[in-house]
Amino acid sequence: MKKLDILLDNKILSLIIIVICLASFLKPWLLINGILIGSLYSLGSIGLSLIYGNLKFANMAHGDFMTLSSYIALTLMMFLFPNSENSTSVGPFTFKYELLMVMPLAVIIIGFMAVILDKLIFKKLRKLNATSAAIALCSLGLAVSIRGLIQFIWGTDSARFPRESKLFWDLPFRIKIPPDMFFCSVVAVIIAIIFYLVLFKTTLGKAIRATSDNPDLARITGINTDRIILYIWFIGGILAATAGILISVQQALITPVMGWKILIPLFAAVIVGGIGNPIGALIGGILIGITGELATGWINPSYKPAVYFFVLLIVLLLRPNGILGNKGRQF
Amino acid sequence: MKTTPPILVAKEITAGYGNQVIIRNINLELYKSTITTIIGPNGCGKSTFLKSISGIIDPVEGRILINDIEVTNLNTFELSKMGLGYVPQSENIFPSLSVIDNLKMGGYILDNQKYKINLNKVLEMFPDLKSKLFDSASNLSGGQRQMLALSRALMLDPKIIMLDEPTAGLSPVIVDEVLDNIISLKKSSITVLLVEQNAKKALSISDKGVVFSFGKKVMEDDAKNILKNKQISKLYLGG
Repeated sequence: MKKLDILLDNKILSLIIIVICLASFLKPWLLINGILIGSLYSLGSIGLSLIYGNLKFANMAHGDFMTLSSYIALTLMMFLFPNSENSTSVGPFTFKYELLMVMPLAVIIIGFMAVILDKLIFKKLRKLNATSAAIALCSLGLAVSIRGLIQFIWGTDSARFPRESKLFWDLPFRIKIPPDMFFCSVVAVIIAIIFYLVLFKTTLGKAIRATSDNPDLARITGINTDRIILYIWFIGGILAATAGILISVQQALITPVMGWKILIPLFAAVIVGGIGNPIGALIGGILIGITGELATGWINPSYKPAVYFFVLLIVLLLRPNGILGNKGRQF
Repeated sequence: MKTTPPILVAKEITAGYGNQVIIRNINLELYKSTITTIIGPNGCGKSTFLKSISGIIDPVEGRILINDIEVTNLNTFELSKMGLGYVPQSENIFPSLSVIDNLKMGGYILDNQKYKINLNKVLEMFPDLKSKLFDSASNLSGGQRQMLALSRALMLDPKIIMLDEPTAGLSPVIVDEVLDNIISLKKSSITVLLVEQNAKKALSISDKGVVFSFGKKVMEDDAKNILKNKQISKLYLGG
């Protein structure tokens, strides 16, 4: 009930909800699309917010972790299942069973890669007491490097997972849902719920939040914060990789710059929701997804990034700490 | 007091932040089941000394021994495993967690059985926390926060506990309550190192007093003698 009060007390959120309701009433199919896409943004932004909340810097390489996960999944699929192009797809979805088999492997690889990158780069910067801005700039360099590596290995052309075309689901009110989008959103929601349970119901999750609150106090308490930071990178990597693969499935396209492009709505979602706040990132992701999609009913879809920034601007002008700000549970 | 070997020895500790040295060549020995209070003006390095002992800042020079084992430059979380507890002056609880989760973090490295035993022990010591267990720690009053901070530190059964101004900002009634708790720590065979602005009250419950000035130890004596010292009384105890 307390959380509901926080949401209802929030005038700006109420205003945005009214606008969204009006637009949704006129074009409900866009609302559904927005919720589905927003759930994927939420998954990406929760990982981004987790890193920011604990390590106090904006990880510019998060989007490229997402891209890399898709290419790794694609390579694993081609390598382990060379005939997957001819195999049957999963039920009403376009993707093949083989993708479901390689996805956990690719996700874990990215999780470990994030841990290794922390050990090689970010831990050293922390030891040197580098500022948040310096570490963020370093992550930008890492992002460009990962993108360069992707283009070097897989080329600059787009790719896609082996797929089989399927019909959209026709629902009332002219709502048409691509089955893949529904699947991806359900998986994103399930992973977000698991993440929430880990963060708020397990001792490890509480130790992560304690480290975020006060790293010195966490160490005094006996928590090995160096190890906690590795868990944070692992979880952040897993969330980024899962979101990356799901977005590639949903868009039926993998490009070297897809992660970089999606970083804009992800950052908007994190800031709109309240930096370092997992519930905020979830709400921010859905909100950015919905507003972006609803806007396409009236303006050219290529202006979507401008809509994200417009929402970001409005929220920050009226509520500089984001929608939930410091009210919700922080990491 | 000095018939048994010291439980903690700080030898020639020099420490500070970045290139700025705050304390120089501080020596101190703590003995089992005693209370030692460090007094001195603001900025004289009392808190810096506690931070350097607890491993939050690494000493530039000097050695720290606990039970004759070298612990200089050991990680803070390893020191807490060795029985060194520390309650900082401010930001000494996890505000985003509930009271029970703060205590759970206090016993993070304990197995479940030991955690339950220690939880019951600290809740017996601080019964006021029992009714607040599932409240957010950020909603506690100043006195309750100090009790929670102390309880959290006690979850690991420390042999030595360092308290940085535990009565700061508390009402006189609560100050007496906190000092009573510190006396009960001593009775439970815990060695206490206290930094306090309420110097008179703190020295009145202490075995030993130490006076810091400008980053140096200028005096160390029985607490009673320090309380009687007219010069110290005039300078640091309000006349």
